[in-house]
Amino acid sequence: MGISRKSLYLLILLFCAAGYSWLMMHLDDRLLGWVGPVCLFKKATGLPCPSCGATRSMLAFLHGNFLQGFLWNPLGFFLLLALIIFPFWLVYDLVLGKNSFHGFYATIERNIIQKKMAWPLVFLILINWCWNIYKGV
Amino acid sequence: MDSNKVDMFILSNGKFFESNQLIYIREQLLAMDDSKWSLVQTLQFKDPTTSIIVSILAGALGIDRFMIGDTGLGIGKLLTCGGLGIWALVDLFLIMGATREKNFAKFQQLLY
Repeated sequence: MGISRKSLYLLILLFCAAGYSWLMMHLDDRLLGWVGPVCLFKKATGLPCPSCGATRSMLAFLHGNFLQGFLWNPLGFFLLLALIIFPFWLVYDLVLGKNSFHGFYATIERNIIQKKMAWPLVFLILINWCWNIYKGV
Repeated sequence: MDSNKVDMFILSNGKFFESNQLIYIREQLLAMDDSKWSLVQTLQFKDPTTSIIVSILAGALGIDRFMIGDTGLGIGKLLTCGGLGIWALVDLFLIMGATREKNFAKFQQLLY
């Protein structure tokens, strides 16, 4: 069971493309503020979601303000890391015809639902969410 | 298997599958050994209606994907505000089909 290799790679590549265009849009001053916040949760409730502020965090990291980046939203760091690593990993897999990323994804998916992995992560996300609401991101 | 039992299964579980899958499921059940009937009866399926309600309420947090067992996609959705809001909207249309696919995969696992 689980997602097939082809659709996973297509999805991740699509995501990376969307992520890079999103960041590009915010790096250029002329386009900044053109779209505004897109978070459905924030629009519906007025409260920030656990990952709100991730774009501002990534932009701070790209400008070299690491402390500011973590203060906006620590998740931005992981997203930026994924955006940098995943395309290279996927291209490596696709060129050499390997299956390493798909295997990695399956392992993560299998292990993360174990109680001792899941509860701490849920707890961390909730703490981050509370912090986001407190900060009023 | 007895066609009465098969029809009973189809009647009570029809809403969990796509209509084109039902024909296949019916054939599979008819060909199946009677000893598996108790196993078939105990299978628990996810309701597509529940998943669309969850998708409407908490789709931007990826809860719908977590619920049907797509943990990896759920994390992706959670960490990106529901894929910048776009994925959350698209999933409103996809989630019922995805739930039925998951149910079908679960049924398939029983066969092998």
